[in-house]
Amino acid sequence: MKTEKNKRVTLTFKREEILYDCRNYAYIEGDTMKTADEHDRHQVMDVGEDGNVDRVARVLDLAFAQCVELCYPYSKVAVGDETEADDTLNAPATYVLRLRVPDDFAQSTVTLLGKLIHELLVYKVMADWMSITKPDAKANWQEKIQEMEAQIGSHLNFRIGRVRRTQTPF
Amino acid sequence: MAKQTITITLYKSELVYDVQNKTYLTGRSRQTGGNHEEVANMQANDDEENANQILRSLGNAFATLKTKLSEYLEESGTSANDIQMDGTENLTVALKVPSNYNPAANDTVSAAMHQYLVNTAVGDWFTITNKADAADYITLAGANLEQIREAINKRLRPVRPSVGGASGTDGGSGTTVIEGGATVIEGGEVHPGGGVLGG
Repeated sequence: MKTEKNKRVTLTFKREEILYDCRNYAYIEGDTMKTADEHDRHQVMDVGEDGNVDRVARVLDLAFAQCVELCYPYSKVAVGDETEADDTLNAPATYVLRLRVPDDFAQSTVTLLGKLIHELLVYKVMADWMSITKPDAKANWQEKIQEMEAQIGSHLNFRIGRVRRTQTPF
Repeated sequence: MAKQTITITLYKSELVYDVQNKTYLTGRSRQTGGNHEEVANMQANDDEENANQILRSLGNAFATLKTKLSEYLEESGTSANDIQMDGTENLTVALKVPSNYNPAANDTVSAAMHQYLVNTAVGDWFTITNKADAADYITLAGANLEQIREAINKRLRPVRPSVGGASGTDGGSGTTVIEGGATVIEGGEVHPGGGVLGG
């Protein structure tokens, strides 16, 4: 039996909220660095500052596109007859993810998805920034990314449809 | 986040007085009763040749200081010269610091800059007039540079921005409100922020 995908869900992620989380994490990463060199420390903390924030915008743009793809079963939109794209730096105030979900999709899953994707976006920014300014911390954020992606995939796939088991494995 | 400008003015009268005072006190404490000429030479004063040496040292130290702070300076220009600065114009730097710079460090930065200039000038002066003490002042000047570096790199913890309607809480009571009834919008539209979204 195929479930109809008639419900539409919009998840909005505010750039300022994501940036704040990144700045906050970066502050803690810098504050806990075992170094007497304040220059090294401030490079870690300054993730949201002029210039640096352009790198964040680039990573966030990519991370969001990856999140959309991660939700592929529900986020897919047919490509237009003519589609153009370029690499202009994109730093929108909000990132909006629109999903078309089955009728029996749970509100609790939607809520959870929103929170997981927010975390994933933050972790991807942090992993990139740490890879530049504090390489030994990168693995930690990479691990969080994998965990978050696994959770998102798990919750989405859980909803894809009922599986009818055959009577015999042969 | 936009940078902010910290303007620091170092008054030349204060710098020169500090140099003269330190050299005077050093000379007085080095008196042995029989070294009047050496003591007099140690004590910098406003005589032209003394003032020129001190001003030259202060100018050189200020140039070095600007190099050390170049990360925070935005100056333009395509020429420079070696004309000695005069004794009246004050020294000013406009530091372009990031938005999360900790302003509590302002006083340390200006004090350490003053000390760096003075210690360098005294070190230079004693290199000529009192070699035994020169190295101490050069060492102190190096320590002042470290103080500046430490202070100017201090950062504030970020403050959560006020984002309209983004908090998801009911007016700050701490209760998370989950809205039902998702908005019906077609995928792949251009949202108000300008990004093309959707899979």
